[in-house]
Amino acid sequence: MKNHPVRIIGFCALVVLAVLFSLPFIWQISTSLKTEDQVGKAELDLIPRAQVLMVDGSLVEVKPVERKGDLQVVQIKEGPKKGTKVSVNPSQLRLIPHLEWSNYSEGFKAFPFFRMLQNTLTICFLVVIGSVLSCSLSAYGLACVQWKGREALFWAMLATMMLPAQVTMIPLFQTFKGLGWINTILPLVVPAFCGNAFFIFMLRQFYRTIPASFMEAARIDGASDMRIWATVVLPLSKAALSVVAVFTFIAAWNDFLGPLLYLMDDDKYTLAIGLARLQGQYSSDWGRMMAMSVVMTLPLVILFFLAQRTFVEGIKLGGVKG
Amino acid sequence: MKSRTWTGLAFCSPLIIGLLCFTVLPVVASFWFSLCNYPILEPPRFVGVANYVELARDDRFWHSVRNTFLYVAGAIPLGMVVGLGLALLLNQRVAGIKVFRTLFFLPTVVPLVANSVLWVRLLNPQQGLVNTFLRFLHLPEAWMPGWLSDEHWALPGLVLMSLWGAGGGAVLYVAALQDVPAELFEAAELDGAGPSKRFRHITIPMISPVLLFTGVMGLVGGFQEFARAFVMTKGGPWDSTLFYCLHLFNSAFTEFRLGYASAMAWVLFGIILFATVIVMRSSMKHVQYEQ
Amino acid sequence: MLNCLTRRTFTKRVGWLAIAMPACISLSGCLSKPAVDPHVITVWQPFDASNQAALDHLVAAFEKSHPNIKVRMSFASNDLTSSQKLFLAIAGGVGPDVTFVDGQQLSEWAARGALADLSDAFGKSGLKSDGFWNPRWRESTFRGHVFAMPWGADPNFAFLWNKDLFRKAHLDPEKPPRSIDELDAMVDKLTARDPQGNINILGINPWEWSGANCLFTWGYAFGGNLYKEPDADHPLGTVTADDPKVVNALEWMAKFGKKYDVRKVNAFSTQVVGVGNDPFFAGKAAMRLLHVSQIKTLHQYAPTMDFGIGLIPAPMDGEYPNGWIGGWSLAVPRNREVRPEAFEFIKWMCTSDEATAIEANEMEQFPAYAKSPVFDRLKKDPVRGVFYQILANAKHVRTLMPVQGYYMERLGRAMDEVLFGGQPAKSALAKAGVDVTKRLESVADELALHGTETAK
Repeated sequence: MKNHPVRIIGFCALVVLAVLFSLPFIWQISTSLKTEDQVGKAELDLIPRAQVLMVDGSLVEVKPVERKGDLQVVQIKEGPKKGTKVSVNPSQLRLIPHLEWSNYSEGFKAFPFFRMLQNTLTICFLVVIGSVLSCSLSAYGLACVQWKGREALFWAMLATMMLPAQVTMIPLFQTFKGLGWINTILPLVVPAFCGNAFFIFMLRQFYRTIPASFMEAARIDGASDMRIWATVVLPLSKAALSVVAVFTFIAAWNDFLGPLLYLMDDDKYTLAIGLARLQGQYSSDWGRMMAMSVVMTLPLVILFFLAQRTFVEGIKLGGVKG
Repeated sequence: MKSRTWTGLAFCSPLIIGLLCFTVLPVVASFWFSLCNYPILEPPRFVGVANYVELARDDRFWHSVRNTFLYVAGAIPLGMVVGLGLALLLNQRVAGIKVFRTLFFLPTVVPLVANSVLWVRLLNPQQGLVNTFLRFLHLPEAWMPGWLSDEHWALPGLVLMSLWGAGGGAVLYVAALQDVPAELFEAAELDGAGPSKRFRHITIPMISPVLLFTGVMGLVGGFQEFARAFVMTKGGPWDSTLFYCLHLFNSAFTEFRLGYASAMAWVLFGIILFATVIVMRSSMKHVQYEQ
Repeated sequence: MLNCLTRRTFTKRVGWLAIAMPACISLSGCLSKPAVDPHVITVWQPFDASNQAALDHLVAAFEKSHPNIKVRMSFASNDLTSSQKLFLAIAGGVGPDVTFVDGQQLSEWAARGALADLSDAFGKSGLKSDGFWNPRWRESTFRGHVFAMPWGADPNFAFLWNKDLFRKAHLDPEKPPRSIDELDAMVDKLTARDPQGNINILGINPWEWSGANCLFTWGYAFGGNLYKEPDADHPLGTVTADDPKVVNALEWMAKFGKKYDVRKVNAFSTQVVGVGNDPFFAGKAAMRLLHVSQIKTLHQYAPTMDFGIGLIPAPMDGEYPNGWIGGWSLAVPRNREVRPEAFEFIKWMCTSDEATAIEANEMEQFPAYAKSPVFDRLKKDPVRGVFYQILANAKHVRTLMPVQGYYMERLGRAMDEVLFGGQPAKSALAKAGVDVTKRLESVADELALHGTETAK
């Protein structure tokens, strides 16, 4: 190990930064486990706590209900006196670390979670398939085939990303309406089968780093473009393709505006809308919102964790060259 | 050569069909709207370039242009630098690297609402973690940034928040870094090149296609920044986070001036296109593709 | 297999694949489309998930009493200033039979032709306009036509104070401020700051209900008015943003902002609307204005607080008690005919004993229908009774004009110019008034609103 000190510094930097970057997620989890009376506290406290009271010689968890002058009315939440309300002096109450799981059980009841999950997964699945297929084909056309007009097409594609969606929304809506697609998942899914400028551009950049000699060699062996795409380019770009898959999955999973605008029935709505509905106009169920937010984030975290093996596999040029 | 054109067209057919079906019409329509008075619920009425003329005289429009340029100038380069730094750290062979990669990516998957609520608290000038950290460094109280509540600090606050999303770019850089052949480094080391020289002459050129991609996409996305300000600041305090697209959205959907908003959209289109062409042109010399 | 493909056949295949995939999916989508049922009405509602059970209850109760009508209610967000979904739907010729619309959107949406005219249906229904709280009724009509039926009535706002903090500041916890002078004196005693000017305990945040809303609240309390409705000489009404009393209200805020530093006050109370770390609930602010829907929040997040609730203070020459009323209404989008079933639903929702009871008991809303029997109970409640008192005395609504959205936005900017930019309140408001009048005139030209008679 020649670079030992450098590696140690690198590792320490990793740890510090990792804590910083996971803070939003940690805070989310912590809030999702807090009791209502603790959620609104001004201090940023990452440890969930609950009020406890000494009743008949043992500490029991209580829920503050209301103040009556100098006395605090609390409801006992566990033990033989569960459910009874008692008035106590506020100084008798103490805070101890406590995990409040009811935010999760209540959160699942707040909206039809599993139906929304099913709707979301259907859309995500189709969007991922469509994007990976269409983007890799189009990127091959733009990066690996020499033809007149490909630069023009590339710029036309880039240009479509430069016009803010707010002004094309109404004509686009009318297009989908003309096709009879309103209140179906088609406006959310079909465009994915027509490629996505962002990912086509990304794949084009990756494909252009593949040595032309690979493709020439295959072509001399008599392979068609389809064969080159399938047997040379796709395996070499597994990493980039899995990036496309994961990113499009995340985008479709978290998309709020698309489903909101094009779907018209509560039955068809997705998790992102369910989550947004936990936020009220004047007040919100914080704990529940954060609990559901954790539930929505967790699958993405797991997906990312599993997929990253492919991400970093790289295009593995060395192997092919050797 | 003719058959190559057909092959290219065939491979690009999903893209071409998409452009024709879902893009051409809305784009042409929005250009037409920009020449019209269009209150959404009444049919558009042609008024020539009146919307563009009014734009030139709209103080708030220029203010939003300024805000957006400042944001792009801050967030995009910083985001790329941070992303690249993370990628270099994440490219090490250390224990638990998979977990680290996942942790850095976390902020990009947390839903915007949850993220915004957290950041409002992190950036709170009094109790927020960011200023608590600055106080820990013994910075004088007078220097404490007023983040989202002071008009001078709101925009930097949003830039800071945007850096938390750098993990997304880092994933792409890591993927590109993995492709840099180890032989190149070994050869350079034998020639006596130090780490910084190797970084400048091998790493950067080898991943330049991906850098170009993230840079251009950063520009395109940065100029259209909208969601954070919409959820967190509504453009305030004192219009200091009134981004171009937020102003555009308000014009279209709270003031019912879709014609005016469309004119804004086309001006923005021009700005982004111009910036992109410059970046792509100037990158030609530097970006290395395999030949 | 791929080996055998020539370039040309391959080209064809890719092409077909690309065309066939979307086509297949689109076909499957079309086939699953349900037929339109003449007895089903669709309703769009904007409420958060905590109201879902009550909404389900409303639908079930309606369907029980009207067995031949089915209601399909679904969520359509409406952030009070904009509703992209509804406008896209109207522009695209789809949309629900009935939709909720917020009071501040009504006149603008009506003027712009987003809503169907309910005058005929209302005339035939036998309902009387004086059955509703008057400000809400005024808000639901435009130029003498009925465009919505008021459903909820939010009495804005109640005045809330933290008795513990009053005690700590040696103030009588049972005596809230009555006048602005008293309020200022109390704020002075209640506010606690560190040597750097950072606020530890805040007296009150006068501009708490973002932007223009607080100008309504305090402007009305000071005795001002922001808009004079149309009369014979002024067919478009008169924008009175620089009404001397409104100027007074803003000057008071500016003085407050200077004394306590507007940026420090904001730093203390920054919040994302609806989800903030609210300093009052956290026991760090002594007074605040409470919205009726926050009664629940108060019990939820601050169950340990000893609070008092009363009326907003006003200057001695101002208006006391005072208040303005907001709230949701039910309307029909303009591209839908007013179906009898839809109107029946609106009428039932807004005026029936059953619906108003669910509205009050399960959704923490005050019905806009003044004759609802639930008020007998609400009147007696110690907290809700205060809101009832505000509701019964309130004369105001927000401005009722066709460029409402722009007016609110422009007022918000005038406030920023004064609070942050240190400009004089009078000129900032006057400038806003000129801009809004100009916009009002040009929109009136576009929409041909100059005739005093009808909207469309």
